[in-house]
Amino acid sequence: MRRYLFFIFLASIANVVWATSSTPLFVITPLVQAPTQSYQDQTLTAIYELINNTPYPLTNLNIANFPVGITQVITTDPSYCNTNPINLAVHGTCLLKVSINTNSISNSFQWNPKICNSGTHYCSQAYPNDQVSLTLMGAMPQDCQSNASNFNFELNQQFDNGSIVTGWGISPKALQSNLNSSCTIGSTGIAWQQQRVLDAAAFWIQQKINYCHHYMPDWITPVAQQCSAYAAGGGTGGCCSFEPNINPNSPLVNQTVRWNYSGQGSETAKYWQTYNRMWYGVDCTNYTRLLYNFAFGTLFTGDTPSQAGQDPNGSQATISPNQQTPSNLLNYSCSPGVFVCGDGSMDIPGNFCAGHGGQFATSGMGNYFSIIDQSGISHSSDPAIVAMIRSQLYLLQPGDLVYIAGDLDTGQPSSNVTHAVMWTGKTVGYGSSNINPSQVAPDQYCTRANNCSWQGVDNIGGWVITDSHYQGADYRVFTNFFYLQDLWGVKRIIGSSWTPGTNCNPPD
Amino acid sequence: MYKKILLLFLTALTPFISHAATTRPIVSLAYGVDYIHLPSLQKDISLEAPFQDTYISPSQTLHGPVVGIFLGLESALPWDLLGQVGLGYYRPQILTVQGTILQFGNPDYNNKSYQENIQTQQALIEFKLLSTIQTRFPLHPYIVAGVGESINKSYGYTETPLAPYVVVNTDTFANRTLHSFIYTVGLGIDVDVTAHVRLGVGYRQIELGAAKLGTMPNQADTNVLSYNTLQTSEILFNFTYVG
Repeated sequence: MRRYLFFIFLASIANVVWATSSTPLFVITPLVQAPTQSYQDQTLTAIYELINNTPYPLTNLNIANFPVGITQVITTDPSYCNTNPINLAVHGTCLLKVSINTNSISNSFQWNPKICNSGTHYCSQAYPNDQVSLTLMGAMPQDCQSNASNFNFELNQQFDNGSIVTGWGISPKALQSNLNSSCTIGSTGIAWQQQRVLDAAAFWIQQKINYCHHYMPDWITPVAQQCSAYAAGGGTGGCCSFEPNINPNSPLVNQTVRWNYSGQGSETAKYWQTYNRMWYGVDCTNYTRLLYNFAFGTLFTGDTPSQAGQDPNGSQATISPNQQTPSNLLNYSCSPGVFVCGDGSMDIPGNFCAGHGGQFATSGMGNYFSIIDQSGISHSSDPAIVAMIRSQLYLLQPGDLVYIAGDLDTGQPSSNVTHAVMWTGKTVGYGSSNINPSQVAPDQYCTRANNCSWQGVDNIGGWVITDSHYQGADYRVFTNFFYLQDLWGVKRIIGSSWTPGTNCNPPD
Repeated sequence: MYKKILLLFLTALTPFISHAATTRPIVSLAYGVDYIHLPSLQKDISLEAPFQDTYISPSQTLHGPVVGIFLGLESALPWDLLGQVGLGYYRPQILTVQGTILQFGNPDYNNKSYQENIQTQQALIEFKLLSTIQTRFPLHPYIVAGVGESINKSYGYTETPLAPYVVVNTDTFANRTLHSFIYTVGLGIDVDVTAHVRLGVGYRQIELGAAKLGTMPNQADTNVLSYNTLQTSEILFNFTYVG
């Protein structure tokens, strides 16, 4: 018996010695998830990132497990897996884009992408929560409201034009749009367009993409160019948000994983940091551009000052809407929309919002919706002006682009346009028309130390915007700090007569 | 080898036949528990370069029931001894062996576990020498020895993913049956309950020989999951009928 006790002891030792961990051979993570509900006659899209996580370069890898109804989308974008089989270097990646024909699948459909070595003996698949799990609900309703959030046509297209700018990555192309024109007409059409661009935001927020100095969210920063977007000086092209909060007074200091990750499946620090998820994302003005491109096939510049209307040559870097003169208009042709006046109406080119200054004019600020007056002076430290502007926020419309000239670190105004957000017209709350507090993202430097709170529950009734900074595209509260106190100007696209200039060909 | 065993068996039968007047048939049913020890296993197996899996199973001792039957003859021997010779068949539990698979032999890629079954059977020519201690119920301390063959079948290889993203190999190692020469020694004690019925308890050890799975389709080498020596110890309770 003693002999067997000894054997049992050895076995126990062996178990300890071989305490090991699991590591996927191939990492499969969704970048764009397929919807969970859809209708017949739809072509849905899902995009997964595949990573060779073995220590070996591998050739002839099979992207397997395609049932009837799912096909691999071949693009000319080098980021994508454009063949099958594929070759991947050590830690090499590509994006698998698949289209799902809802007429060819069952009403309750599940599919898990799988990648295998050439002999199909070594395979990996996505986490169960990341697989396609789809319920079909009959024929697609044809009313406008039901189609506002349908981006299947846009998602099925190639997003990128193929040209790559070092650091910033691949450039977007204007997506084709097949909107029902009857949905866009009249005052109901305005509301429908507003809903559609908000739905575009909701879609991309749901994908939990990071903040990166990228033009497009389907571009991954090459390893050699990986850097922190929050380094001194703001980081260069390709930099992304990691260790985003270096403020020791912040409750988020050193928080390196996306704030709303569940900690389960692929929503873990391992996947965020080691398996590339943090290296996909867009910055603020490429985010606002992305939303309008997906909503309407409208492509404007993603460069922040230029999107606000300033000349790309930098000559207008310190000019705000109230400082415009007939000879110095902020009218860059690739900048979208028109400026919003103090009374909430849209500027008429050359009119300088005359007679439409509202409370802004009454307060001596000028006619535009801006905290910077005609002399270029910011009134961010004037509580009366700040309160006045807050009282006028109801005049903004969903989809309005709000430009910020402020220092994210300190919240203090800056001379240049530094940020852009999109107005949602919604407030934090628990009603069906509200943004639930649980959906409101932390705001990097907005802390109690700054007499500010980013938490949704602390901001019930507060106005909600959507923007990309900190850990990416999200809903955030339009706090005084950084946002309202640094409100440079507002531009409105929906309902305006603006169309992209004929010479507008922005990759930037 | 087996011819020699048969010859030995027939030779052993000779005195029983020659002492036919005192020779009695016996049948004994055995039930007990066995402790089968498997040595540790670590084996590298390649399917396709650069993939190579290391299969690891720690040394382990598994226990479970064993049943058996012995058919033979018993004859009185000099010095108040009894001798038994006959054929025994024993079938221990099915062993379920579990181990881990380290892909690339790297502990970081501990993505799958595996399981296989081993069924052993033993056919033995057994020789049992009993003495008698006269008490109210006569006691028969004995020693037993045997030679024969074990039939070790390795089968039912399966893999289990250790993480949701792991897809197990659909190919499996082939089932395989090995035959090995084995021997056993043991001791115990029987007690006469009636003139024809004995109950007993005994202990014995057996070297069961090797157990190996076959290869897997598309395997790049010829390595297999193998245990060269299975050792078992058995505690058997016997019900013996003496004719």
